[in-house]
Amino acid sequence: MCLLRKTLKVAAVALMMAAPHAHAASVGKEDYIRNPLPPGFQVIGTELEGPVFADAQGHTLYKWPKKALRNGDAGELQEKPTCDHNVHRENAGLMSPYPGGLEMPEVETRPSCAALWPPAYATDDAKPIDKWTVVTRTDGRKQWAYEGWSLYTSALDKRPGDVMGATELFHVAETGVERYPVAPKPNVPSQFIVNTSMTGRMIELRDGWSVYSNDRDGNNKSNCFDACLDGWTPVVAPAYTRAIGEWTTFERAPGVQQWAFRGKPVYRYNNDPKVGAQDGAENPGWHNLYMQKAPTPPKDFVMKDTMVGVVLGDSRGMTVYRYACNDDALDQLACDYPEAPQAYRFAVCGSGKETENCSQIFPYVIVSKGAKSDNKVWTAMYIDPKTGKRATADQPGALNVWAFRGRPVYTFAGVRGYGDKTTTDILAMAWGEFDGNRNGYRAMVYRDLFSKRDE
Amino acid sequence: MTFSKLMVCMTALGLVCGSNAAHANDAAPAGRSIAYAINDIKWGIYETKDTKEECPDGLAVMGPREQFKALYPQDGTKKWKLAETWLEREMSVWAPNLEPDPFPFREAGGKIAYGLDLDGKTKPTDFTSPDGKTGIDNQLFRVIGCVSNYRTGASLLQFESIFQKKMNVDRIMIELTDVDSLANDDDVTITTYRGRDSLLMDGTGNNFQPGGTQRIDMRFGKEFIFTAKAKIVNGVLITQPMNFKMPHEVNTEEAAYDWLRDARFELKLTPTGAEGLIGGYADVESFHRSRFRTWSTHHSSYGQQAGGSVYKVLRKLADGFPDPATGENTAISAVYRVKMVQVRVLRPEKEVASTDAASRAKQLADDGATAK
Repeated sequence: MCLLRKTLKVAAVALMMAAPHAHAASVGKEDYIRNPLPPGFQVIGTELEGPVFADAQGHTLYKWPKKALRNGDAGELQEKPTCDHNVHRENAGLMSPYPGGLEMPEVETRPSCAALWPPAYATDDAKPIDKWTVVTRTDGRKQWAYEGWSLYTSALDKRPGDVMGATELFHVAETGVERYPVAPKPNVPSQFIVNTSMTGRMIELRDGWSVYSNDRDGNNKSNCFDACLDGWTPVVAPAYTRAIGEWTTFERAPGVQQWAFRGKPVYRYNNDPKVGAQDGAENPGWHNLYMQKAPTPPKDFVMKDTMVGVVLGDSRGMTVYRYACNDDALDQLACDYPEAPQAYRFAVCGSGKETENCSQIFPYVIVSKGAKSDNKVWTAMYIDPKTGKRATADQPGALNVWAFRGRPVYTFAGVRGYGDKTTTDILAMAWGEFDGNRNGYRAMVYRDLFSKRDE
Repeated sequence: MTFSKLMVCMTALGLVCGSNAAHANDAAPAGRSIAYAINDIKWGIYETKDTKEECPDGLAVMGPREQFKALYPQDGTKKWKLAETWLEREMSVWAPNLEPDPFPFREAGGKIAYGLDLDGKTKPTDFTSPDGKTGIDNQLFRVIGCVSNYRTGASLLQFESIFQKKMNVDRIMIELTDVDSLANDDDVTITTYRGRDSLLMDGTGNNFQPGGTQRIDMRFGKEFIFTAKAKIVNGVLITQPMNFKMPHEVNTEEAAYDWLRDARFELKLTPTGAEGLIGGYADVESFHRSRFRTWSTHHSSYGQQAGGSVYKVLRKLADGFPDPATGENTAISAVYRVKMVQVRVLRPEKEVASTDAASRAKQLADDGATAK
């Protein structure tokens, strides 16, 4: 089948953007395996998630695989779409320890699953092709599926290349049953995988170990021998492997082929303590490998060291947090964006009982004068701090704040003197239900050196 | 040179012969320093078999589930809203207040508790230690002593123990320097560090082995570095008051820690390990954050620990470090029971590339991020 593989550079998303940007060179670089698509579908390059499938209008496609929660399952089985036009007015009691049957916040305006996640409908004469199939919804309409997973777009995606509905980032067991963007397979040798991270589409070995390149190496030439090999292990290629896309092999020793990515020889770090660790990149001249780098935060932000690794800070160096929220109805709608009910977020910061409003405990990160973003992941938006909802620029009291993937970001001022005071403080790293993953704040960690993969 | 150091030197020269000289602990460790990593740490909870001594009314029964059920009966008489029930309960954990608790809280009592005499006084609220020492300060015992989640066999204790042993983010060690004898030395220095490596275990996975190496985390672990003077008396390390921070990562990426102020170590030392107590005043907000704000109501429910209720009692019984503005105490006397295994400290050849600003900026920029 390898001979049948054809690769294609992703169409440059820069064409869809208002202006050329420095980072945009990275978008569209990621190579992927091209397989046949149904008419009207396409692959587009995105800034964080790499190439994703999209409909004819450029709307990213998503899936919603079934997952077990503490008190039951939600999501979809393959070939069985359930996201419909029914408005779920009560919670399902899937997240311990609270019961179901409670009326959802802002229930009068709660959207149905299908309103927020419009199905990718298929015509009655649509024909399956390759991994694309046609499934029948409960109302009898046809819907496209990929690898069996029913496909949807997101009402939050406004422009081609938007992936505001859901992301591959941040998934842990307690986040609820979230959606995922659907993507073609990266064009990498079978020994490797690509993992979406805050720093980019990171290449890893299939079993999750990080891989690295070294500044001292030449093009398809390793300079890591002798003592260097005490710390680094070349990733060797099987004897009969051939070049794949941007991957080549070279003979580093008689009979020993080493992989190179874009000409850079690839290694594992012998002292990485566990799967997913990135300790190797702490050594000068050594770098993790990326299919494409993530967009750079605007100039109002800095990177800094904290007890968990490298974390985003605002212009003062104070830790920056995102807000995570997924509700407990059967359709598991997200509640982490300004248009969603803010009652969840207000609850974990006191609902106005401690201070006038939540934004005094978790202040928004304000856009400084003249600051701009060169990408679509980081944007400026106007927010009414009293309601937490979007505002217009001319609305009294409206704040112009930074947002990551369409969600405002925050610092932690705290209450009663308890808040982040120094640049190393990260006191709200996990502030909220289930480590802040289900309803709470999470620090924006760019290089996580301590998470428990392979603990 | 202190008298004891002079004696050690004389002993080494064969000028003094005594029975202690033959004791293994009496020798100076190699390089006059020795380090230990924590392999087991838990709050000092004095437990009797039937709980009658410390919890005469029994253990706490009103955890999150029970409180919810009492406040919002699910008997069909009222249609409850999520915002006025579930979210109200979440708010009590993440934004607790000091209003009277509608639920009774069972404080631990009795006469005996683990701990140290932190203030040099014997007060009515003090305990006596199991080995008979008086003036023991451990008000945290009153708060959590009857909450099953903190007692032997509890799920929280299991989580804490497992993650403390397995996760490098929690790897705290002490290094003793200027040590001329592990038996008696009246002038040594203690420094705490975060280590970067796993503990050395035997084939069973249950027993920690001395001699494993630990790299000091000089980049991300700086806030765990504290130092103080100490002495060793009859093989027991006794430190001057110092700060002590213990990472508390019972789940992933929490960045929480317990913070003991005016902490004192009292550890029985051997060449292969150390065991004893670390007493001090636990910062109330840090304690509450580590066990409630960064975790989940689900897990709190296992052991009937209601975050909002615990917070009120923490604040009520806090007995140290008054807030200069309000006069309210911000810390509560407490003690850890701790076991440590001897490790060999590996110092970075230089304080890693990160301390080289230009190098770090380049590294981060290469990795897709701007650097400060």
